[in-house]
Amino acid sequence: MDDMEESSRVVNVELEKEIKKAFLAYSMSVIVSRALPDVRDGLKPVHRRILYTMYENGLTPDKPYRKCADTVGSVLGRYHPHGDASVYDALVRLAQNFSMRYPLVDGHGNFGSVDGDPPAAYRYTEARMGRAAVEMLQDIDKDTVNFQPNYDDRLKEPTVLPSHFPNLLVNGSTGIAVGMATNIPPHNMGEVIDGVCTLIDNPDAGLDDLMESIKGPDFPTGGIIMGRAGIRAAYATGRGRIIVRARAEIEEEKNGRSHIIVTELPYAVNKARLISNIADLVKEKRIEGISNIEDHSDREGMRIVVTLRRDASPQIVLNRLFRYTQMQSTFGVIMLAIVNKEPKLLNLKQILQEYIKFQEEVVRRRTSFELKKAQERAHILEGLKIAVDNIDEVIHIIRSSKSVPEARQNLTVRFGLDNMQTQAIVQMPLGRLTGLERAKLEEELSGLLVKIADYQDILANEERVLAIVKKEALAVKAKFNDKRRTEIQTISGEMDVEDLIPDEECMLTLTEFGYVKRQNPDVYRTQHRGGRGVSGMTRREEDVAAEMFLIRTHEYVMFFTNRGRVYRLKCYEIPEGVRTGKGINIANLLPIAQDEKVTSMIRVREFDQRSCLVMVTKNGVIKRTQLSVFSNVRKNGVIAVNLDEGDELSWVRLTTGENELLLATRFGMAIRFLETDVRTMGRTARGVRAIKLRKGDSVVGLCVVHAGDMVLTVSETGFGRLSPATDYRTQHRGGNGLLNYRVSQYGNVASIMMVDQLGDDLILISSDGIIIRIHADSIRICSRPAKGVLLMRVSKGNHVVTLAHTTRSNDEETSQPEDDGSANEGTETAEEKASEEKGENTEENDTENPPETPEDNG
Amino acid sequence: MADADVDGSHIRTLLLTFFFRFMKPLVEQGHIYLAQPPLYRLTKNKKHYYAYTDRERDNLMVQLQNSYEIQQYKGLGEMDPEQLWETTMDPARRLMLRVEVEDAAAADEAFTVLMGDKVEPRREFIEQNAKFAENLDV
Repeated sequence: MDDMEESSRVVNVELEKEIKKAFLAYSMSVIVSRALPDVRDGLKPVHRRILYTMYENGLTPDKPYRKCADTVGSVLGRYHPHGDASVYDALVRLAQNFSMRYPLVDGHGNFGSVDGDPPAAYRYTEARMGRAAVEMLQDIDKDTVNFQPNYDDRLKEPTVLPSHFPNLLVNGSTGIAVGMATNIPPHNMGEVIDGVCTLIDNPDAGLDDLMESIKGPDFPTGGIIMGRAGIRAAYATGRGRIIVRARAEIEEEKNGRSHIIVTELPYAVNKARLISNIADLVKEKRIEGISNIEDHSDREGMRIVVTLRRDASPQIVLNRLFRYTQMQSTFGVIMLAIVNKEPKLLNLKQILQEYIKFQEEVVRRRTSFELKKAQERAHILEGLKIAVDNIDEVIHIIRSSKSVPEARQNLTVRFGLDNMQTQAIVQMPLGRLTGLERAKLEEELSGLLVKIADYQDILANEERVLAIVKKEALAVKAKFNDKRRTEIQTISGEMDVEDLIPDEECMLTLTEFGYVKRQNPDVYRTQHRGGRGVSGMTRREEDVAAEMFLIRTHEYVMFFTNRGRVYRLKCYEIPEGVRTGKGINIANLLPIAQDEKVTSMIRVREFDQRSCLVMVTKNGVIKRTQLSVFSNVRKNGVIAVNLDEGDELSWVRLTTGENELLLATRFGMAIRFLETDVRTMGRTARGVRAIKLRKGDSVVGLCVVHAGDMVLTVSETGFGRLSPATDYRTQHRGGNGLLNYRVSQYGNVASIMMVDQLGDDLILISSDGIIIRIHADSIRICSRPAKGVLLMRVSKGNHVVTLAHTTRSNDEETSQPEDDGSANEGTETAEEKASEEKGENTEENDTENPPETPEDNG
Repeated sequence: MADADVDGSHIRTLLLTFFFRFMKPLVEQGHIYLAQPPLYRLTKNKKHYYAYTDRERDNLMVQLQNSYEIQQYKGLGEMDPEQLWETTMDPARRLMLRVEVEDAAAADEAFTVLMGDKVEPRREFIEQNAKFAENLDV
């Protein structure tokens, strides 16, 4: 204490001022010269110093590798007075092919891995410049960039590299300074250079023009970018959030077990840590359905295998993985870079503009440098020429001079030559005096004069400078152009993507087991006459198409589930399948629950005001809602109808608002009424009674009635009957309905269906998995409630469960109904007839054979 | 005592924050001193001249004209013990900065902005004051 008071050299400083000063000094130097890249070459000082040192040491890609310790030592000793670890870490990153889209350092040895393994120490690893680094440093010796003294004023280092490609965008950059940070994603070389060219050709190019070339980031690790909105925001403003997903596929084994296979991860995600995170989440039961996870990655590529439990829905597990783990990560773009020694947030166009401006300067400075050199050379040549033309006199002057300086002096006096020229003359070998050499001299001089004129023209003409920038950029593109690794995927609701997808007709099929498939309808048309016919789908044996219709790719498809929820997809979001493929499980497309089943699929051309959706539940509740109410269905689905406990939504039909509906029940009742009898209700309403059901009865079918159609009724016992729609008279909804089938005698009704084209085929499936296919026109037309003909022989204990229709197939496998002559049995008795307004009997002969199958050529 | 470069500045802010937040009486009663190690040493004819700022260095360079040798001190570790004694420790020769608090509220606010957990005010501060920064390590 004492000696401090003694000392006169104590100055008081105010705490607030001192801390602000110290803080500013630190933060500004971190911002300007440590953590942020320069907009021109996209490098931070440490990277620039590494590359320049390697250049000075001659470590070009055609030379052998050199120990990293040597390079690190040189960088520290010459330009970078900081820690060796920071230099080596930076060097390693430049060499990692999973960090850099186009590595600037070519490393040899262990440079770390996507698992976050550390690189080997610098005494083991070796490195040299990468191919791309050569382009960064090209022309640096031609006075293209400014140099500044190094830290001890011993050497000069470049303030920026000439950078013949837009490295800031191509390799991206990340850095955390103080109070600000930067995070620029890497891009595809070809795309960015095309963008540069676009902007050179048209300085007024807008973001849309630029984005025609520069589609979005292109990460070295691949992955899938979800949607373009974030990319657009980032390019337009300099900030944006880009969602990147791992590339994952669902592989199904024959035994029904599935695996999720991950082959690409989002940028900068540590694979080992990801796997251990997933394992932790499984342990904590936050993700269920995973039985095992293994990493099969090797030197050939990445492959993480997530094995699912047999009862798990792969899509749901995958969605959870995306949600809770780094398999989906957000790249928060902040395009901050140093422009004129100040940090600046830049949009895409500004970055490109700054780059072009810088390249113009590089080309101009290089041209000036070459011009100067050419002029100097031409100057000397002119002197030589004078000397050669007057060689005898020159020799005389030299011989008569005492010393070289005197000789030069005399030459200057005689010919008006300057220092440089006389120097060249006195050093000229005698061999230069031959005739050949003289011609060469002249040739060189005239060549130089052409070059000089060219250089002067370039310097005077900005357009020529720009043309050179463009030409050189395209040359770099030709060397480095490669395919984009990151896929940019469309997410629904984004309007701009639809332009890219052709609006064409396709055939959409949904099977009983919930597989959906989109096909080009042409596959159904190109058959030759007499062919065997095409079966729409080959799938698990007993699975048949439940719904099938033509639709355009830009139209919406609505999916209704038994739980009363509705989901919506654009048709193009359903993957296109080959004809014989079974399609994709709908659970892969929609976030439906384990026990949820899609029961209806509806094509929606547009959400107009007139159309209505009619929904009928198993327990006879009907609800009619305007289609327009569903114009905003969220990705996760919304409630379409509020179901009573134990009830299920089974049928949904799109109506015009003026249709008539026909419902049939298991116990043989049927009711037909006007849809306007059901008032329209809100989206979540429960609905009203469609038909009064007896105890234990349930609805088995809903049809929209069209005049002239036939109603097919099939019993669980395998009997079937076609009746004209007019056979069912219109009643009011909510009543008991009409007798459709004598179930006590012939078995419960399995299903009903409208058959509008008798040329079609019908498919029946029994509970034991037997499928039968019959021509619709081979079924006897009888009036209600007749028994009909035997369509399918059902073994004891089993019953018909499903009825579907499909296009005609002329297979020999098609069955014929067995008509035992009792088809009309069970038609209404006189009393029954009397109890209704109008009774009908069949006009057909009992003994008539079933109609023959007409010729069908597919 | 910290290195005389920008990273030393950073350490200084961290230490001052620590003293101000957790040992406030030390600061209030003026027991905190900042040692001032030199930034450069210029040598001419075996005589050493020390510069504590870039400006001092420039002045010396003009004074000494040519034929001097310059060494930038990147850290205290570069100095011999004798040099450190000469330049920084010797009570007879050293320069010390005594930290005092004139306006505790203003100081408190400065610490909150500079070292607090909100980034936005920090960036605003940097943007407003960027041109006053000196001693940059470019």
